[in-house]
Amino acid sequence: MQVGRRGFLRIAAAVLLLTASLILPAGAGGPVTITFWHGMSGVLNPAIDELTNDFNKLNPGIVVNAQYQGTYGTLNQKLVAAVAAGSPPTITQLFPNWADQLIQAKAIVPMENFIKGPDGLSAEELSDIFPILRQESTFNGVMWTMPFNKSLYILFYNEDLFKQNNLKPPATWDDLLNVSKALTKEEGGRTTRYGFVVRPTTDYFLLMLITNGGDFLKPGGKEVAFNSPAGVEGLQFLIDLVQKQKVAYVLNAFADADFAAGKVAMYFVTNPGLAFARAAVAGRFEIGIAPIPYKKSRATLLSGTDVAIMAKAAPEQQAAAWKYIKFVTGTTATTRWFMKTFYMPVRRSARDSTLARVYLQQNPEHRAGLDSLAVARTAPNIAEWQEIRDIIQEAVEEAVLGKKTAKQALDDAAVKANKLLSQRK
Amino acid sequence: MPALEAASGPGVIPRVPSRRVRRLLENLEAYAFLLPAIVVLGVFHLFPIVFAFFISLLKWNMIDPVRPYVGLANYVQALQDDKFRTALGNTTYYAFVSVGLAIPLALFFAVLLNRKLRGMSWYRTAFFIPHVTSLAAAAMVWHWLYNPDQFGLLNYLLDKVGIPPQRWLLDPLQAMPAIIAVSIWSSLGRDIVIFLAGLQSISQDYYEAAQIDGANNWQLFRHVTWPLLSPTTYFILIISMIGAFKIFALPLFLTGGGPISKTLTIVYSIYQQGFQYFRMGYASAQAYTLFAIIFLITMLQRRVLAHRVHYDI
Repeated sequence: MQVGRRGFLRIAAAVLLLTASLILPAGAGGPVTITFWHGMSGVLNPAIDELTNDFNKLNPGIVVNAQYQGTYGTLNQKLVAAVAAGSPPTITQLFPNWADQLIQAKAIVPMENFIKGPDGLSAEELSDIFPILRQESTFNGVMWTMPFNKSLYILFYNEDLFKQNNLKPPATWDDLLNVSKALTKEEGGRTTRYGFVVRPTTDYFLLMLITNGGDFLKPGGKEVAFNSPAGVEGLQFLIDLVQKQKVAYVLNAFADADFAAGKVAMYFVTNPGLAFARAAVAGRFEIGIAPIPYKKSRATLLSGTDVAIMAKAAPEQQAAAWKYIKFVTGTTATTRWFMKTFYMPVRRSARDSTLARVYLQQNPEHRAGLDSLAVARTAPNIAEWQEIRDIIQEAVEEAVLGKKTAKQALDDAAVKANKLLSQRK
Repeated sequence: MPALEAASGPGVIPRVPSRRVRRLLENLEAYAFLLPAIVVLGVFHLFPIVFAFFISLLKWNMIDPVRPYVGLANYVQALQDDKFRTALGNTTYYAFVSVGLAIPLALFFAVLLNRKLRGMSWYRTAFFIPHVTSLAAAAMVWHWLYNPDQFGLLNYLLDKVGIPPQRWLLDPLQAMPAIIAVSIWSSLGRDIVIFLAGLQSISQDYYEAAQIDGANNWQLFRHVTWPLLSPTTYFILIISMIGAFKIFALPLFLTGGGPISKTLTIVYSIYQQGFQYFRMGYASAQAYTLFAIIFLITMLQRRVLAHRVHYDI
């Protein structure tokens, strides 16, 4: 094919135009588009879409695409793969111990940069965010992530059943035992209802550990402390409820189905579990909420995710991301988030706002969760904690199944966990 | 070649390619047809296999820019790791029991299905359906069947016979047998089809000759069917064993590796290390260890069995 000089010039011009239109930044006129990866499933998904749409409407120069990535496990895998491939989202939801790995890989930008920046938060606005939440977002003294949907553990109980039996929700471990005894029912040699259920999970054990004055790590953070006498006592208490007093049973699944069916009267769960419990119970009885029963110290375990801004994003995208994060963690948005999803409001002003107070008057059951925020504890936000959780989980299973004594299981787990910690840079 | 001679000379540009050039063009054409397959196999099979070996010599968490070379340390760690050893034991248990049960069962059913009875194609289809069912979907249903309450179908049936409800997938001793049952249910169809093909390739002449000599059914099987089926049996044994050592999907869907790691298999361990704890180097080392194990077992099978295989001339 013969291409003459004129033809060549035409082709060159066309190629140049095409390339220019592809390379020219969108900022030169168009809105800044950013992506937000999250793991909010079920009823939480439309809630996050609503928040995002509101922000997009209020900020015509920015378009936020909230993209559901699957369960948290899947989100983590996709996130790490995306970072490795060099194409991460602008904002991601993440657990604090994921953040540790990303910080070491220099994949996220410290939130503090934006907080202290020109469009940042005043000292007052910053301290308005609950200190315990800020603590979990802080690594080596720097605040890297922003708390977004945080929850904590509380006790759900069958309020109707309690009223019928003239019982009050348990405040201490002893109360838990006594109430469970009162509510365990036998019919024809079979137990038809248990007072409590023991899910052999890390969190059930950690709750017993911290309400008994125990701790996750020894001071210095080089060794674990969950196999202390406090921890062993806590684990043994759970085992005894099942084996000795026979007022609880072991369940390897979510407890809301059994709770709704009347098989169990109480269980430990985090706040967003209320939506699932209500759906299962379908109005058959009232669901009461109480703080976790304690032995030595009132405590509960903080859970839930933060948000972080990825380092690969362009400066104007990062600025837009910060605007979005400021919006969704602002007083109004976090109050609405709390009322819609039952996750904790991240700000004191949100909890004390008129909107929240009116809501609490109509829905007083949420007070127990909000009050528990004052005694909430955070697990270590280190990358190794994910695997240490699995190690603890297996130890709890072994002890609950009777394969090892509580002390043996926890001590073996501590050895494995300490080995992991010693490899930490 | 006359045309070539006439065409060459001063001022004449040869239009017909020489024999060598023509051969080269033919080869290029062949390579062009092969190219898509070569690219796909190279990029998605060959490259990962080779790259994984290099990764296994590093300590790498996929996003950390620091990836120190650690030589064979990952391999040493794998062989000393309690969890990996557990996975090895579990997988070996699974492989020998599931193959040991599945092959005789498949042979038994294949012999039965080899008759020309009415509706035989329906029976064969019934046996083959589990094999074409999505494993994930089947696992969901089996998970429900194995429900540890009295609401699970299996426990419900046991209750009718007066046996108390079993924990199945939650019981440390029952979990692996439960998985083996599902695996046999799933793969029986494929094994039966392969055995059927083998059975039908046995010439009727042998059976007729044996029957003339007064052989009964058992003797027919023992002296005609079994020896002439040996190539098929050998083939199924090898591929079943290789597949059994790679079991992953069933523990993933049914038990999550538990309870207390009783159903943790080698590939599950690789997945955990690589994609949950992001220890790419360690996971790759475990993968190559698995490769070595399967290789050894296959070689062992060859050594023991190959000379017992009768190939029909």
